[in-house]
Amino acid sequence: MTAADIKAHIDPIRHEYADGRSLVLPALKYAQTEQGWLPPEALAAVAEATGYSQAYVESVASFYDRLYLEPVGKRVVSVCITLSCMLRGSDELIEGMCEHLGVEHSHGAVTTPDGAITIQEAQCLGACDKAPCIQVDAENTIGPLGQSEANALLDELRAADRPRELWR
Amino acid sequence: MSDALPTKPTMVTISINGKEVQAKPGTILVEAAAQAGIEIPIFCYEPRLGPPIGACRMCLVEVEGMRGLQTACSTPVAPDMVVHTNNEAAATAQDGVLELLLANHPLDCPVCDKGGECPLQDRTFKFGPGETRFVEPKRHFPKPLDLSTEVAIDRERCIACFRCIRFSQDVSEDGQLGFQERGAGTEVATFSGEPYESRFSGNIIDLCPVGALTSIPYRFVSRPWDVQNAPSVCGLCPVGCNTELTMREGETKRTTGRPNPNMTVEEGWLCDKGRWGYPAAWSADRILRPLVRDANGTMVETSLEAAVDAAARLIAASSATQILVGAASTVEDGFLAQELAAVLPNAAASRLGFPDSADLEPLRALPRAELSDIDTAGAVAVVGGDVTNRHPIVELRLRKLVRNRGALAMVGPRTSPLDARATFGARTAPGQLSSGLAVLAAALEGASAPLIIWDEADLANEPAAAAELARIATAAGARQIELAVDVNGRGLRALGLPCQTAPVAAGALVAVNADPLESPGAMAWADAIDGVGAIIAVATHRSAITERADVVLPTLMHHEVEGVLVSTTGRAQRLRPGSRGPREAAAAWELLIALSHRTGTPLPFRTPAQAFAAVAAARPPFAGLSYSVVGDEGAPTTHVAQSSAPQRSTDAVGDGIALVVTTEIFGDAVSWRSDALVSRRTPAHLVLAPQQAATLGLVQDQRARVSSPFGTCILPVVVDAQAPEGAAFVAMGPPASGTSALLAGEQVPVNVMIEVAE
Amino acid sequence: MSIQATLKGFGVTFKAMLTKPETIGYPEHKTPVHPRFRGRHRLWRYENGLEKCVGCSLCAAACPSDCIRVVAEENHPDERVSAGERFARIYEINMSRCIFCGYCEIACPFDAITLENEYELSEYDRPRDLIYTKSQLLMPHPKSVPNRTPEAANG
Repeated sequence: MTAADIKAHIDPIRHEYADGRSLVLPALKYAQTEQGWLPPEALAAVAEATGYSQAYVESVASFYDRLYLEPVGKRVVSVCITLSCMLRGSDELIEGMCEHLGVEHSHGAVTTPDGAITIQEAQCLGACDKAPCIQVDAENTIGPLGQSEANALLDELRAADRPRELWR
Repeated sequence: MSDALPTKPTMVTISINGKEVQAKPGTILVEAAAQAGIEIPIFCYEPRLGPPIGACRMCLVEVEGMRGLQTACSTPVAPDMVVHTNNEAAATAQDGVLELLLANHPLDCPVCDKGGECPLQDRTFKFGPGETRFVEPKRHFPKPLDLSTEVAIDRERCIACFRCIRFSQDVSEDGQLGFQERGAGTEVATFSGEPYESRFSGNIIDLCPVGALTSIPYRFVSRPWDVQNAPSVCGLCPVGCNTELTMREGETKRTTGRPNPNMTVEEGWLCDKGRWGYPAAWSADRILRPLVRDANGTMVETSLEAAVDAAARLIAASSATQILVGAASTVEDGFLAQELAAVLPNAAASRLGFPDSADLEPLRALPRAELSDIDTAGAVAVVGGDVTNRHPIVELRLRKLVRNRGALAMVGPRTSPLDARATFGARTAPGQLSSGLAVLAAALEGASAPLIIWDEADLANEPAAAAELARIATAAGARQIELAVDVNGRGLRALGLPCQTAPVAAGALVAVNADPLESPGAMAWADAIDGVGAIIAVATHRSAITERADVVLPTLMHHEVEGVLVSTTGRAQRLRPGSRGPREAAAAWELLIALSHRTGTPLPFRTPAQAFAAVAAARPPFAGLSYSVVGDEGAPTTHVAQSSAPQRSTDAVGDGIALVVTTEIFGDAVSWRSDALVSRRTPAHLVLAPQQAATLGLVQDQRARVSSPFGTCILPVVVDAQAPEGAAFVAMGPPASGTSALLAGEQVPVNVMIEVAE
Repeated sequence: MSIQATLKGFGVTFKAMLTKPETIGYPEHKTPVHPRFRGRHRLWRYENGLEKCVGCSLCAAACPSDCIRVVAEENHPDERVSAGERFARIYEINMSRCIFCGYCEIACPFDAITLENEYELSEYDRPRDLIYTKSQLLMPHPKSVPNRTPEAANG
């Protein structure tokens, strides 16, 4: 993927953005859809395509949890750790999920060695009524989840193929 | 003004804390309050970085009638505004902001280099909470990290004010710094953690309102109460940036921008060479003791007394004396050299540097502008020169011009990072400046307050272009800024010191901060130097002339002396000593006075101030100036037409391709001597365009033999796709590189032959 | 002069011979000082041997007679001298100028310097003997193993 590809993607939508800086986000989103994550080369290509500095593009990309600056697994599971979910036991839930996958829990993201699943801590997912909740591939929010349900979901995700239309 | 037109109020009246304040419309509240003597605390507000961004929330004030509290740094005054900066609402907000800023601040003030001169400390004392309610563990980052070889970053201390990032993105426009992550994890970083490489990187240290960005060469060297600060001027290039020298225990430990910047010159910004050039004072080749050649021809260390006596005896024994003043010498040094030459029998004083030229008179006669005028010009044409390397601060001004939507035209043979920002640029072949000027007239025509910036060396070598440029500028009503070649060339020329372009014949030679053996024309001097009876070198560092000298008198560098330098725009500015210098060294002015006493012809001066008063009385360009008139900010000298400036030959000498020389910013003697700039130094090299290199059979990093009619040197090749074809670009490098052998003392245009060196 | 007056005078003398003398046989015997007596300075270490002083120079800033000189340097991560990022490479007190006011002790943010009770500070030579260096001021290392001194660190 080159700067030209990104430019071709953002040029048609340029008029929708009053400030050119805002175009960095759709450009990053496109680059991530193509590559699954954003290596430094992709950030450099976005910088070239949008005309902003590489540092600025990286600054935008690092702000968002859904823009991955490190490789992620085929499916990304975000576990909400904000207040409602935390009070309903999300800390234990994420520990249990990591244990089920056999990985060490870390603040941030952790990926299974086979690259199947990434478990990510997320700030409020806006589904406090479903606490504790998780989100799969930034698409559908599921909850409330018990430990066994969560583990079953992980097994299911591992078995299923990655949906084609996901933007990450 | 006609009565029929509605008049715009020239001043608005607002009330701040019950005090009536008059301010111009559009004034930011912080400024209006400051004018009335009311301090509103700020961190991120810095007008030199462009429009305010309100990032730190420190300046919250209450404005009656506006909902909530307002940031005083981004609120302009409006008629009848009623502002409270210290009522309960505002004070509670300011207190709260500081408490939050301090929540994650490590409070390691005793070990922090900023401690004692830290805005966060000061504001906390004045506006902040007495104690914290935050008892949880603080955020921790590994500390400190090297952002570059000169700048250390301690991310725990950062309060995310955006100043350094705005400097990088909006002032130096290198675009390397940005915030990463968010919330408490926010950190200033470069793309992919690469080192921050900028010619102006040190300015972010001055800008940082906390101890997050600190200088590595100054790390833990001293504390603000251990030092004395002296407002001085940088003596490393002709721009004449105002600096502040920090002295501890008799040595300069740091150079920073002034706390109250000189807005007409450097606006508070310094290049990294000016900031970290001072360690050159401690380089291994610094001359610390006077040397006198004994009967066996070996140099013997002696006392300064004895050395000056020996020098005076040599002068007295000579039939004729030539005093040669180097380009970085102060006005006083030049004047005292003239005075000494006047009282010694059969003596003359001259300067070493770029020769005078009558062809430049039409340009110099145009109205003069200051560097600050670049910001507000409608169009600026830069003709020749290499501002990026030789006048770095001018580049920042030109970038600001483009941000202010002024038109920038770049004409000349050298490539520049500014080319990408120029509205109009013409790379001309060497010696063909005229071809680029044709379109300049259109660029300047009709622009408000147009300016031309022209390079002394490039235009002196092209009289036709100089005349044409003067005509265009006059037609457009443009003012002019000269890019001088030599640090104080302008000041020494104004004294009437003639330029020494050919070697002196006989007698005694007194070289004051001058080394003709390492300057253009070196080969001719090398041939003639044996004919000189006695050589007295007044020098700071060892060089070719001190090796040949009979007496070496150690002298002081620009940050160690008192004196006046004249900047490229013609401002006389004062150097003040920020160091005592080596014990056995003395200022050049002092040595010249001492020599006058020992030769039995004493000069009536005891201090540089007296000498400068005499300069003002005797030399029309300095009329009306004195140390007190020059003061901290400098004062303009008057341009007086040089009736006697010689006509120079400007025909290119030699066969082959045209030679275009420059000195890279970190490629001069000071950068090679300063151990703070070790990783930045660039050696002398030859830059060729790809086609040119291929024709000559040269590839990158290969060594090439470059020969001119005057001399030869061997240089590594850099192939640069940006470089124009048909010319050899030589970066001069430090004195020992031998590149000066390629040039004549007259510095006429030269063609060189290039071949592969075995 | 009457004999009575003479006897009265000797009476005082004989009475005094029976009381305990007030004179203290210095230097064999020393006057005890009050606990908060301010005498010779001492620089302290933590129990693990690291110096408490980080070379912040606040003592020098507080000193009314300007007799303290501190030159700091950065700690090497492998061989730490002090607990902070920096340490005092040079710490000198000019005892001939010190007025024993104790401001340095009050200014110190780490309780690294205190004024102890020792008061016998006479010397023959002021510049040679009365400028106390860091090694003179610093308390001995708690462990008897030879520790890297700052001088060695820079030697």
